[in-house]
Formats: sequence, C-alpha cells, structure tokens
Amino acid sequence: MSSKIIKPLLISLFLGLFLQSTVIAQSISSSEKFKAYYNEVVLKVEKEDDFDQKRAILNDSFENMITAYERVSSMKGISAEDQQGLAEMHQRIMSKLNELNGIKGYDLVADVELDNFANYVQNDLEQANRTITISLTTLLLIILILILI
Amino acid sequence: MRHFKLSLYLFSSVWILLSSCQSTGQLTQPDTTISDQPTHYSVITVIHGDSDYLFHQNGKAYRADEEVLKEVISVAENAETGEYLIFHQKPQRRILLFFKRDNRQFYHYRNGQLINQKRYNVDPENVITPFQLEGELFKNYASTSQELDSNHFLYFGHEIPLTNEPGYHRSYPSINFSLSTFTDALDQFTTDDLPIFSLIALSTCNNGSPDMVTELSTKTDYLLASPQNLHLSHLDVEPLLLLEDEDVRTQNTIGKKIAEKTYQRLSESTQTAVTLSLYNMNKLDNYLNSIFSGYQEHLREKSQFASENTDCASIDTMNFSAPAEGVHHWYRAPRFGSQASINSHSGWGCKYTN
Repeated sequence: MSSKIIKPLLISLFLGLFLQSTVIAQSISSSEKFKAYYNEVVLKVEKEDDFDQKRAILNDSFENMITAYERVSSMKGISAEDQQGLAEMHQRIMSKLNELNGIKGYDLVADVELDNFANYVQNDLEQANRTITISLTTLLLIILILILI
Repeated sequence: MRHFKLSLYLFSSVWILLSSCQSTGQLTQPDTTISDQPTHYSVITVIHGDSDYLFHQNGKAYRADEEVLKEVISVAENAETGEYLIFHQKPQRRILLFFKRDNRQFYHYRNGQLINQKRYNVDPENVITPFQLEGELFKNYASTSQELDSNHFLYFGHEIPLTNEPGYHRSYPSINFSLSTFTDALDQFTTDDLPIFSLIALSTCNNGSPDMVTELSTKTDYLLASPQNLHLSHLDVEPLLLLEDEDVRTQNTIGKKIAEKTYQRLSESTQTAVTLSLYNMNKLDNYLNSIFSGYQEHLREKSQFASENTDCASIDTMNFSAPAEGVHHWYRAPRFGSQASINSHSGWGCKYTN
C-alpha cells in the first residue's frame, strides 16, 4: 500500500485515539485514582505471606498518606473547606495507623487479621457517603505526593 | 501538506459520525403492541452516577451505578406484571475538552418488555431542582392504569445532604440538592390514584435519620435507609421480583425482603458496620414530632456537625429515646475500630455537633 494512503490513515487513527483517550481521561477522577492507589496496597498485603511484611506494607502506606495530607495542608492557597477535609482524612488514617500498631487505646491487629484489616480500611474509603470532601485539585496534589514518596 | 489535508478530511468525517451519535431523541419508540397483561405495581429507580462511585471487591474495580443498573434491568426484564422506570444519571462528558455530551439514560419496562429507551439532556440554565427532567419523563410515559396497587421509589447515590452542597452532581454543580429539595421532588412521581409510595428505599449513607424520616413520613408507608454508612455495593434489588406475589404487595413486606438480603450479603463481604433500618410511618406517627424537634435542637446547639452519623442513642446530650415500635433494624458492628465491641443500635443515625 502506498505511503500516500498509509500516512493519512495513521494520522487519523492517532487523532481518533487522542479523542477517545480524552473522553476516558475525563471519567477517571482524582478520588478514583486515590481508591485505585489503596487497592494496590490491599493486593500487596494479600499477596504477601510474611506477617511482618504485611504489617510493614500497611504501615508504610498509612504513613505516606499522612505525610501527603500534612504536606498539602501546609501549602499556601488551600481553602478552609479543603483544610477541614484534609484534617478529617488525616484523623481517619491516623486512627487506622494507631489500631494497626495497638497504640492510643486500640488493641493490636492480630497477624492473621491483617488481610481483613486492609479490606476494612478499603471498605471504609468506599462507602456511599461523601467521605472525600476535599476538592479534586487538592486530591490530585495528594496523589502526586503519594507517587513521589 | 497533502497528507495533512487528507488526514483532516478523514478526521472530520469521523467527527461528524461521532457527533451524530449524540442525539438525545427517542431511541426506541413506545411499543403499542405489547400484551394486554395487567400491570399491578410500579418501581421508579433513580441511579446517581454523576460522581465517584468506584469500589473494589476482591481486587476488582466496579462502578456502583453501572452494577445497580445491570441488576435493575435484569429484574425489570423478569417482572411480568410490573412497570419499571429507570433513570441513570450519568456524568456529562466532554469530547476534546469543548464538546459536551449528555449521557443520562431512561429505560422503561412494562410487563418485562423494554418499551421506551431515551437519552436526555440537562440544561443547567433551566434545571435547578432534582429530578426535574425525570419527573417530566414520568408524566409522559408512566402507566395511568388504575390496576396499579402499589408504587415504589428507589434512590441509589451518595448521602443526601442536610443542606445544599454544590457539587453533588459533578457535571451540574448548580443543581440544588438537599434533603428538602429531594423530598419535595418526590411529588413528581406520584399520581392521584397513588398519592404516597408503598416504599421509598434510599441506598445512601446516613439518611436513616430523624429529619429524613420526618420529611418522608407523609410521602411513604415504609422507608428503608441506612442510619450510618452503607457500602457502595448498594442495596440488593433482586428481591423486587417478589412484588410479583400479591401477598408481598398487599402486606407491603418488600422493604424487609430487600433489607434481609442486603444485610446478609454485606455481613459476609465487608468488614465495616452494616446498618439498615425499615421505618413504618404509621406506627411512628406519634413519636416523630418529639424525635424531630429534639434532633433540631441538638443541631442548633453548635454551628458545625460531623460528616459521619453515629447512633442517636450514643449522643448523651440529645437524650434520645428510641420509639418502642415502628422501626425494624439490622445491625452488624464493624470488625475493627472503636465501635467493634458495640453490638446494639437504636436504628437511628444522628450527627455529632462540635
């Protein structure tokens, strides 16, 4: 087939794919990316056989989330509403971290319960409320920091 | 340059083709040749999908609204004497950042047959109240048969907020969506023959509350709702098929059947708390005034309240006294967290103030 036909076809195909990807990209929001991030954590915990490693994965992920909330919260220009949302999420994950390690009045999560605990945190993030009340832009900052940590 | 021109031509052709798919007209004409079978009951379902409804089960990602839609359609296809009006409020899409595309869908089943399917537009300039367009579609298409003996309204979405919070509908933040605008909007789905619903089911978090129950007390015989959190996998709809049984309709036990099935599934598949309550409005009639006024007083005490609900009975300052009758509730404590050891619940959800 001559290049006179192939090149335009390829360019059209590229434009078509670009168009389609733009549509799909719209539908994937920041909050969904955040849920997808934690789903990876759950899968890692379930895949790991060693209990110490399971606990370490959860500890690292909670600590990373807390660090991300703190960094974003200290940035200039974050609205008061977002600050409140960040504080709620910070508190939420902090209580999970405390429970995981059996401190601040919580019983230590038993080794054999670590998979269930990872799922508990996921269930908690995926309720039919509006748990994540912070703006999508602020949430995107959190995700960027989580990726960079 | 010639290649570019040709590409542009091809791309334009594809573009015109795609644009032509954006018709909001009727996709399926009403089928007037459907059987003469009687239609005994109606089910109106509004599925909100214009927000984040992603959840995971066993590592796999699902969209709650899409899953519920599939399940409701499956039920509607098997409902031999029922009418189903299904509204799927999907998000608006933008193609190449400029071109808006509406995806809201209406499905209309009668006696197990799809008789109408329509994509409809939202004009944010003119649509400012919930279900404005859905109400119009209901008026245009719902059966006016006097053989209908019961009607049911199911809403699947996030928590219906106490006060308007812009952004509930991600694509249309200007729509005023709150507890009062929601409950007012329900009047669009009733008829002179059936002025109140047999059942309203709210597949949302935190709406099994004194204010929601009071607001709906004159609009339904039964309300099924969750006083606290409800997992995004939503209420089970398969029990709706039991509406084919006349006894289930006359005794109005469908809310209980849905609650039992949902409770069983969520207890097995989730680690968080499961809270479901079925409110019998006739039996609660004598209690609602005092419950509502007590809750309003509690909310007025402070300017801010927590985003999450808690058991009303656990708030010391409220002096909440659960009615002796009128509420059937299902509760399973969370497997972890500070509430893990609490094995009882009043069946009512309230917000802490601070």
